[in-house]
Amino acid sequence: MEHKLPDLSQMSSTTLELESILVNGQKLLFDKKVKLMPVEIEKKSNEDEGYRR
Amino acid sequence: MALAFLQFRGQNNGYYLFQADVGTAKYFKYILGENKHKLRVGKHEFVKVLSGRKKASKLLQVNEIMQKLKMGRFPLKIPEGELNDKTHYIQLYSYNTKSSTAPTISNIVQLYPVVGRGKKIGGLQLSLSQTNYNKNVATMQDTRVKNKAFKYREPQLSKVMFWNAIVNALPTIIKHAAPVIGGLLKGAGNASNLESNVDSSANNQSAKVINKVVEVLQAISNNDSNSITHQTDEQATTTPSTDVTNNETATSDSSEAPAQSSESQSFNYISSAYSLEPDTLIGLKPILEKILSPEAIIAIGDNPQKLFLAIKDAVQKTEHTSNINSDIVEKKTSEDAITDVKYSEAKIAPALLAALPALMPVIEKALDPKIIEAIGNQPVKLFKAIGDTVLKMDEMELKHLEAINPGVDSADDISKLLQGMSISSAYKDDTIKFKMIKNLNLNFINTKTVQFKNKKRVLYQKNQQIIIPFKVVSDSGNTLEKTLKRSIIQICIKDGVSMETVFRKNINLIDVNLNQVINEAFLMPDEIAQIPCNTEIKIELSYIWKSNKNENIGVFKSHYVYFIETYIFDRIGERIGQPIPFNNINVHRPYWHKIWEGGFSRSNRWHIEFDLKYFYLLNPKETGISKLETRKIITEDNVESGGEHPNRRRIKAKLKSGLEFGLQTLNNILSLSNKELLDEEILKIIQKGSIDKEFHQVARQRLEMKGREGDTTTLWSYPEISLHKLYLSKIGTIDDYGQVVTIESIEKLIPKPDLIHFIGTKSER
Repeated sequence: MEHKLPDLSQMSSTTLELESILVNGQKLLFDKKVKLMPVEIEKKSNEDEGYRR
Repeated sequence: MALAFLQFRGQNNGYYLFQADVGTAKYFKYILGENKHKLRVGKHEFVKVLSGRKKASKLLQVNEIMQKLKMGRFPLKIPEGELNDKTHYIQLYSYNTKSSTAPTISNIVQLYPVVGRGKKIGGLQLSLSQTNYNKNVATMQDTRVKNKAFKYREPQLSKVMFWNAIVNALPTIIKHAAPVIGGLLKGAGNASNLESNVDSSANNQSAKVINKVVEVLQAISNNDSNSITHQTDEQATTTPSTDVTNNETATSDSSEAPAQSSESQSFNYISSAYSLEPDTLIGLKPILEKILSPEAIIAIGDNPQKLFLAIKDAVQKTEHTSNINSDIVEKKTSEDAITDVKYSEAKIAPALLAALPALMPVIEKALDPKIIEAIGNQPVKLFKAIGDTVLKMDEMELKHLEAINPGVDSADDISKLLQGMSISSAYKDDTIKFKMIKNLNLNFINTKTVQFKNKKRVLYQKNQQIIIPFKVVSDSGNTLEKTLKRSIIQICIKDGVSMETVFRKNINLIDVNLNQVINEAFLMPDEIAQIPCNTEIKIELSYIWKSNKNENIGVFKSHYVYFIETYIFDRIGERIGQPIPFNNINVHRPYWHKIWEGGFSRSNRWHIEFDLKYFYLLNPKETGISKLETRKIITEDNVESGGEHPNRRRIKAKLKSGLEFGLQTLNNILSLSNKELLDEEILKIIQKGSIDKEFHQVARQRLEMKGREGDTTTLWSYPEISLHKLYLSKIGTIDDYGQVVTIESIEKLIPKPDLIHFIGTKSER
């Protein structure tokens, strides 16, 4: 069994749907590769910042 | 062919996992050892073998069937219990016969320190305690993985964004600051008081300064670059052409000069945006003389575009200016003093608070040039330093500020940023209050800087006495012929970021000749022990004596320094090699994160659009990986609460999630890459230092997921991690004052995520 998921970020969603690649038993819809950017972030206490479960 | 090759593949269920390859060899054993060394096997040939305390496994036979199938490759599992804190390396030996003939030895693989529940990494007690190793913890590949709440927030306005906004908006800043400057100048006729009074009203008054800054910034924020045309039109129709610059507006009307170049268009815009009074322009002159050389001013002439660019350049480079002032304590001795362009700082300091970027030359009076250099492009730090300086402004200056109309505080971001500043100062508590003599300077002597964290900085060794020599001179740099019978050195040491006072002391002196260097400002090792090391520290040094009127007067200056131990974190540097995709679901499982899973059942079809922010963060207080909860907020939904579900459900939502790397994770990744691990001393530095700030990364992506009734979709992420250079510094030589004169650079490798994959999956129908 192959454990490595190849980089499929160059493939369109339409192509991927035709490929029928399974990840964790589910069909792969997309692979979006995004460059990470530096960020300034700080730990906060318990106050809510607007995002909720 | 017999061979021996070993590669570390992680840990799982109490075993260290390796991929072994013995080629056609029939037998093998592995050696666990404490050290490694080179063994000479020929005249010029060496092999690396393990030494020190060693432990060998028994001779094991290769499974012949599997050997044929896998070409000699097989997984090797070693129980965790076979390793202890002295086991640093492993090596594989392969043999063709049972009698151990024709041995082949593998590469040596370094093992990362064993981290058990409550165990130490070589003497460093990490914070992962039994209490937080609880039901949320799952062990995967023995990289500790746990789930945590998302307890981070991005600052309201990032420092970089803030600085960029200021620099880019310079022309607009000047435009809005100009009326303020003009107003101040009109009221500055009596502003010749040269002493500052640090009194109880300073806090309120400095708050007004902040309000004014907010006002100007608010005006800037309401006038973005898109409104250039609008501003020009408005200026042309509403402002009478009475002054020099407005005359320029009239002549630069686009209808009269349709063929002008883009440069001249820009020039005209800037010119037309002015509403400066002539005296305001005159008032700008001394400001510019503070930041620009006379030659530069001549070169700029009356071209405002060049002027703006010069100011921007001067601000960015924090150029210094020639001093212009008189000597009030002693005779006027300076031959170089410029007498025709005298002004009090009372005139310009408040004005420059409004015109932020031009503030630099003024705070040179209170801040050491090295501080300005150290502040660099960190506007918040600059603000804080200014805030402290404001408290030392004289009453007249503060009255000027009072005369300014209060600003409307609707620029929330900027206001919060400013209000977050530590304007309140320890000087107002039990410190000695004094009036600052503004035409005298306290100059630090023999200050040495070393290149550190991309800047020249002042460093002191943590564990020894330090002396901060200084001298009091006139503004023109002349020494003073006066002996003070009694005087006091007041040293206040603050955290360079929070401005919280961490140490303070007073030193009483007698019979000090101001002609001489004062070497009595010192800190003993037990005093330095109270000061945080490896972080930026602000030393505020005041030198105070009694005036003829029996008032406390004195001089003041600040230093930004570091107290450092043997090693110190410098920076994370350039990437080495290509990013490694952590795409192996088995080996890299801890790094895979299920960000969201779901679907909708009451509509035939559904479509959800995510605005996703995902963070990779370093938490040096943790050992393993922490997957942060996904926070979600629905911004749009075509189903009202309790309403009917349409055939096609449409939702828009914001998601925020992330993954924390613990300290141990760094070594896990290095180990997976067969790279040298970070030893305990360096791990300690990482834990204490500010490396996390350079590590934190974010990706933002808009993603769509859709399905039919009953479908389930899942959103995963995994990183591509690169090895970066980790720059550390080690103290080299130290001078008699405790200053670090040389430092040695040390380079290591550190893993850091560079890319992220967002993987969307859907249940098969």
